[in-house]
Amino acid sequence: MKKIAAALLVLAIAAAIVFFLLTMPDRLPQPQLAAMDSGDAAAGERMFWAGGCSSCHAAPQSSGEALKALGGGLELKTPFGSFFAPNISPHPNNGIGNWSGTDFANAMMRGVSPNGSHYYPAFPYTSYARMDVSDIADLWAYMKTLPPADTQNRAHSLPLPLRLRRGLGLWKLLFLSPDPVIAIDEGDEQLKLGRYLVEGPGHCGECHTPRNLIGGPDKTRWLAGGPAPEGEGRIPNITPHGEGLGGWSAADIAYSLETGFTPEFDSFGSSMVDVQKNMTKLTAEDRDAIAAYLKAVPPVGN
Amino acid sequence: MKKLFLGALASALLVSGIAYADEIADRKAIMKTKVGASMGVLGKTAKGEMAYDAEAVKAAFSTMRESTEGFADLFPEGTESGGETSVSPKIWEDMDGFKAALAKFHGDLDAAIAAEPADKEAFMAVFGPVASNCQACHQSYRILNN
Repeated sequence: MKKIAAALLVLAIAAAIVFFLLTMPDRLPQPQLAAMDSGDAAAGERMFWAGGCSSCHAAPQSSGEALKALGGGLELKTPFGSFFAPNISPHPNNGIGNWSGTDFANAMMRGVSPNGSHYYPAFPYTSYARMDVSDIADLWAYMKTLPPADTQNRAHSLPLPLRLRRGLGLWKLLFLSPDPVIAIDEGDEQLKLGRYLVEGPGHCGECHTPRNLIGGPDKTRWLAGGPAPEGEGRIPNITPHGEGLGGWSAADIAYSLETGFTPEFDSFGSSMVDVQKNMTKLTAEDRDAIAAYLKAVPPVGN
Repeated sequence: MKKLFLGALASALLVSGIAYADEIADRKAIMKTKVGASMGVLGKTAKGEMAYDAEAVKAAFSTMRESTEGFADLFPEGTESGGETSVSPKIWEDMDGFKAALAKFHGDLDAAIAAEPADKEAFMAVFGPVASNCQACHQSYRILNN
């Protein structure tokens, strides 16, 4: 009995060490972070709207200038529990006002907090990981110009096992990658821009790609829609499949992003309304590029 | 006794489902064939895909206004699901808000009809407010069904 107990103890310690090593925070390498000090706030505003920061981090039902007050508070109800978007305004105590550029880049692109803990992927860093550091630097410069909000953060409401953030390190090994999802003709500048906007700041896949039991996106069904990962109902298929946007032209897609109207003049609803309003802040070139990319992804049925 | 009870329960559920199936079917038909078809005329006019026709525009606004008179009455308790309805529970949690949104839609339509826009420029001034109601309602009260 004693030998078995001793062997189990050794195994348990070994497993704990392996777990600890596998789940260590994976921060960005220093050379990449050099760009964070020289961001352009004007260019950052485009990333702000493309990234949809307001839709989660501004108070619900905000419009106009209130969209720039990022005090957080929105509740995302998911199958794993409720997540409450934090205050990411420049407030020194209740927001991220005392963060460095390095802190911001690691949060956005690696899902790691300044003190080394993992963020829950309800924050879509799996998409932001595909962004260029220079765009993150521009966004950081813009974020620092926004008004401070003093709203206090609310703790997520999760079952006990999921409150162990360390375990997210394992999840990240499976699902966090800076690589593009869909292979395209790298010589086509419009497709490259569209892929960047959709797979990166636009984080469209976070809602439009179905997820598995542990909340990881199923990249073989990229943008094919499925049950809503937060809230109720279903998210539409936006691949060129007949069950998706098959009958839409690229011009139809670009028009819908600009106005919220489909080719039959039905209108967007639910969470897509805020997304569409953010899309109006981008250029026509950006919306056309997004449309071109959506016409180019593999058609996948539900 | 148990069979009788289950039979009665099943019948009651069946009847209530049928009784309410009309409201769900009606409100979907109104949105698609009346409001949606009218939006087709107005939207294409706005896009420049249809030449400006004051009579057609007025007819479209009027159809939208008349077909949605009393629209909230098509959302009684019991119609929260079934019949492939795309409703959010918020409609019943906030029926006052739902009715207020409908009233705003009607107000914008009444203004558009009264304005009798004679050209596309005048049309765009009244169409914008009308069109803003679509997403405003759908954002809060519509969820695509599973």
